[in-house]
Amino acid sequence: MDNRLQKFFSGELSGSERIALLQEICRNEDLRNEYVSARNLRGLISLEKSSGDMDRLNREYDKFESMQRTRRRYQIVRAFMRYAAVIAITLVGCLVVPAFFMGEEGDLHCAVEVPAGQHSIVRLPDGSTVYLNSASTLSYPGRFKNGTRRVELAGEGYFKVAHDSGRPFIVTLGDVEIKVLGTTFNARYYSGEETRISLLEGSVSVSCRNSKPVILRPMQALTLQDGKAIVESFDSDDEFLWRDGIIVFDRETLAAICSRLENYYGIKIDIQSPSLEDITFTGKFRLIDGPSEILRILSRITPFSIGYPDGQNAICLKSI
Amino acid sequence: MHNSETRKVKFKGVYCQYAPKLTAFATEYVIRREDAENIVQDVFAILWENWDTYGNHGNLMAFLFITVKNKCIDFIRRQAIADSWSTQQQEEYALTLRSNLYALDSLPDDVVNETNIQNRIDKAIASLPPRCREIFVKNKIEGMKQKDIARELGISVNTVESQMAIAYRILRDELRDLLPLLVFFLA
Repeated sequence: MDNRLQKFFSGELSGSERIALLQEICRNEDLRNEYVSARNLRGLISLEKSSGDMDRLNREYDKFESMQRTRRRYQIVRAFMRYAAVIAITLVGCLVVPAFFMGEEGDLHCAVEVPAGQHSIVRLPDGSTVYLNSASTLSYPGRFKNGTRRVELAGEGYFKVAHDSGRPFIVTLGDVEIKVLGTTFNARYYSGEETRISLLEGSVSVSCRNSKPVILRPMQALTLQDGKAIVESFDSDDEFLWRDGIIVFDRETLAAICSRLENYYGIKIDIQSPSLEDITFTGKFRLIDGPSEILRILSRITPFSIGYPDGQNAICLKSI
Repeated sequence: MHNSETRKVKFKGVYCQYAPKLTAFATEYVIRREDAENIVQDVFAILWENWDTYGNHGNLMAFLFITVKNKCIDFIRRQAIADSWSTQQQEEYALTLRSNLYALDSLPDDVVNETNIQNRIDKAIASLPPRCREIFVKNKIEGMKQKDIARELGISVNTVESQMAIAYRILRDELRDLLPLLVFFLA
């Protein structure tokens, strides 16, 4: 071993000699290895140190323990502060932000989206209630202003509109506008299906883009087919049963039934044999039965085969 | 309640057994004793917080040793060894830390896992000449200052120093196979 290293460890070198040696250790690998060996030998031997004076050790330990307790208390205070901050931010968010957006200029917009295969109820700020069917979206302002109550629907909704003669309630379904004062009606507007508005109570006025508004009486329904409005009477409340999770088909073609199932469940149904499309069915099903079960039951009335292509959210129907 | 009491007693036992050893070890590398004490306290704080995970660890000493070693490495790196120093002491401190980082980096984690390491070191110490061993044990194992040893034994501090140097040379030869970098260059 380098004589200087030995002197370094026994404290026999002067300050400048020590620095010169350390600088050389950083540059010279052999010397560095010697230093590393000597240092690590000392390190290992230091692990053999006895616990020494127990009184002193006890005092040291007590100090450590009280420090741990302080630390713990500090952590609890910090955790508490974190929760307090979350609550404060939430309060600011709930009270200040809406006030800001709902001021003179702004408007907080809400939208409720119902996933495929489920249904939901929305209570609007004016006291009206809307039942939303599967795969439907209702958008409405956080606060109705300017003397009207405007909402927008995609999908199917059953409206119980709170009476307010001063503020007409207007539902927009694509190009169609339904204007009501206070009444109960059902509106269906799914892509690829007929738009249908059925009135149970009161009166509604339905207008479509350029055409003259049509006034509906209770138990009348308006169906839009290829841009033409057809008004007819109905006598059963079957078409409103979806609010209880029941789907009703009343002399509907398989093609129409499949479009409805596609919209309700967000799936694709492919009728591969055209002869099947015009077969009509009448029946009631629970929404939770799901599309496979509904189609299986229909196929027992008029037989057709049901296939599930691999890796696709789709169902194929073929005549047998 | 009973459970937390047992836990406390066990923890204190571990602390009293290992804290002095680990502090002596860390001082060897980070130089200043108060820094070494802080490092060891931090490591025991980790053990305190995670007692359920590590408390019944089969080889608690190995866990503590590796954690202290890594904390020493972190500490030296954080000291951000500068290139220019305003005083000679600062320069020496920084250069020593830098050299010690090399030492820590080449110290294997599993060195304390060797079940016979304590025996090996004990045996090596036992093989020292009696006078040399007495001085070495008083200084390194019992933690007495060289000055106090000199006074107690009625010898000069110089003699204590030279006996310590002899002790290290013998120990190094006895323990040469313990560390990969205990490659010796004969003086």
